[in-house]
Amino acid sequence: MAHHNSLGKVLSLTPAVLIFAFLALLPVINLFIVSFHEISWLGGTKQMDWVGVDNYVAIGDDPLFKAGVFNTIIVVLVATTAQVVIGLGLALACSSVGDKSRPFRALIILPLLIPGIVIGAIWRLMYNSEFGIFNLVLETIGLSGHDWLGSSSTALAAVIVVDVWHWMPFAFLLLLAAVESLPRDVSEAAKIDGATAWQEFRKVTLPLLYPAIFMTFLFRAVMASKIFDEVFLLTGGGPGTSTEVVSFTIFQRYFLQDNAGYGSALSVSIIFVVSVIIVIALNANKSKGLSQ
Amino acid sequence: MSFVTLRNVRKSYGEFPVLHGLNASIHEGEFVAILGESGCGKSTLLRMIAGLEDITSGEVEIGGKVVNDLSPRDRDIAMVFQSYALYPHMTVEKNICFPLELAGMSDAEQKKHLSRAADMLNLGDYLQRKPKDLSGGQRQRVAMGRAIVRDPKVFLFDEPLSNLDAKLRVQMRSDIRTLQQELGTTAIYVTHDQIEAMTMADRIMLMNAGKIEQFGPPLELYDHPSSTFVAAFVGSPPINLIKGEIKSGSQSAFVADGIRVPLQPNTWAAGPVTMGIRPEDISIAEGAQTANAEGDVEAMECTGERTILEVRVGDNIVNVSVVERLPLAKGATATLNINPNKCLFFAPNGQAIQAA
Repeated sequence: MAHHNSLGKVLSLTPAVLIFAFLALLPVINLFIVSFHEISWLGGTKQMDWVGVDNYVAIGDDPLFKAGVFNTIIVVLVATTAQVVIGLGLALACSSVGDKSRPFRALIILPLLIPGIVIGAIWRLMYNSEFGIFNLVLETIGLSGHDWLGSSSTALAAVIVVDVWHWMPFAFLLLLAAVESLPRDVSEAAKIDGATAWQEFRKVTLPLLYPAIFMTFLFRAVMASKIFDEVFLLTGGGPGTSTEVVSFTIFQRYFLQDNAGYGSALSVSIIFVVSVIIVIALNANKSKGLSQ
Repeated sequence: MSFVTLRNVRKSYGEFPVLHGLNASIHEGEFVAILGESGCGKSTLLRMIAGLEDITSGEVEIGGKVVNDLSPRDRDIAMVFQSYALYPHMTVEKNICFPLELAGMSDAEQKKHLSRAADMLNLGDYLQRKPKDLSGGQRQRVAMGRAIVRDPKVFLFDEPLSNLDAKLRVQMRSDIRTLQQELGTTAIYVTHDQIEAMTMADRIMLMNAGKIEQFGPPLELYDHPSSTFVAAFVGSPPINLIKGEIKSGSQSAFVADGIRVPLQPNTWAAGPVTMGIRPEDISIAEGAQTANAEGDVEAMECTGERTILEVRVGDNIVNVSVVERLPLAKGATATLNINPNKCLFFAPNGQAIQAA
């Protein structure tokens, strides 16, 4: 009977598994296959030449990709940390104010709703070295302006600021849901037990929020590792390679240089690395018993 | 001497009043139960004493000090919540020691207090477990441990037994009472369960719609309720409240539809009243005994210990509770003897009337 039931369960899952395989796995498998080829067009016909692992070997010598990996790691660590810290702070503030914070909540999530292209326009204007608001403010207080996007010392930071502004609301929403679902009486018990506001936050609220903070961080880190819009719209990876990120490298190699085989190898590598990081992070989280 | 004092304490949410000027004195070491229906304001009052709710007006005093403007942490109170409110990420040991850690106590001192509390509550085997690995009764004991460990001035209990099964509730009732008596700490215990209040409290504060209806020892509320509300709230099966009239003169009696209870001449003023009579103060008349009422048995429950009858007398259903196992069946006629010395009388406004 039990065997019959489990067979039934397997059969009932089959359509969903097939749809998943078709929609998610098939494109990746196709990408994987292409990554072992060099693709060229001869007389309007596609030509696929088997090159083995040559595309993967070439990745190690690609200066653009190296710069992209380095910058992406910085973006992921800095932007994600900032988004989680600011998002958590705002979530706690809004939750403590209660219903009166509703208009602020709507304002906070506004950047999330703005299309990427508009965000590019907004921030290009703000960063403009001639009439951008940052330089206007600096000049008003007697300081000289700066070419935020054109200078290699500030371009990556400028991109990170935009990413934080754009995606912090996402962290805010996830963390607000977590904060709002914390049991009220546990917080009240801490107050009665003698906790100051800081002690309550440090010893009760924060540990209870760890699972949500972890998941938000992981989620945002994965999304940040795919950063593309901001770079494409604001800097185009420059100046030099100062804002080069892996997605932009793939874009350049695959689409601009029409190197589909090598672009596929880059893509497969990124998918592999991100997947491995997710699995390691989830296991580390599980072993620490944070997922209550 | 009063240890916890309420002086004209009021609470409103916006325009909506919840508590209407409460006055009460709770003595040091006393166990007071705040009893009432859901929504009567009993938990709000407890939370105001704890400092978890603002006091709209009036004063709350603990140990001779007005605490209105003190935060919960400065009131030297401990509270056991209905949900226990244990810290899910901490072990039992950490949960119990948390108030001590916050107070800056050394580890050695904490251990000493922990072991005393764990011994009292039989928690020694569970100290390294997390709350999710404990049963309801064990969690309840951990919450108690966290409350007693720092020797507060007042224990506050907010329906702490509601989530336990009936058998465990009876056990915990007795455990909490014994513990409170051993420690001699003043306790204020909110409950909607009259049995809990009756069995645990030195005094019961019975609340109704944001007011204190009566505040006194359990048997005073049972035997001498100040109103029909108190009479009806306390006691199970509930008291019989029968509307009728007192006839005065030498043939003084309470008369209602199908009921006549002779009273001591000139003891009660004539007029319309509600008579209250507890089910156990009515017996089934046998043989040539003079009956006060007669009616058909509409329902009968035998608990083993007692037999509880519902008898229709005129317009009224009269509850009767007797020790005997009666051979009466549904539809049989029962003749009732009402003990005139146990009759309570209430004016049409519901307030108790005293004998002349």
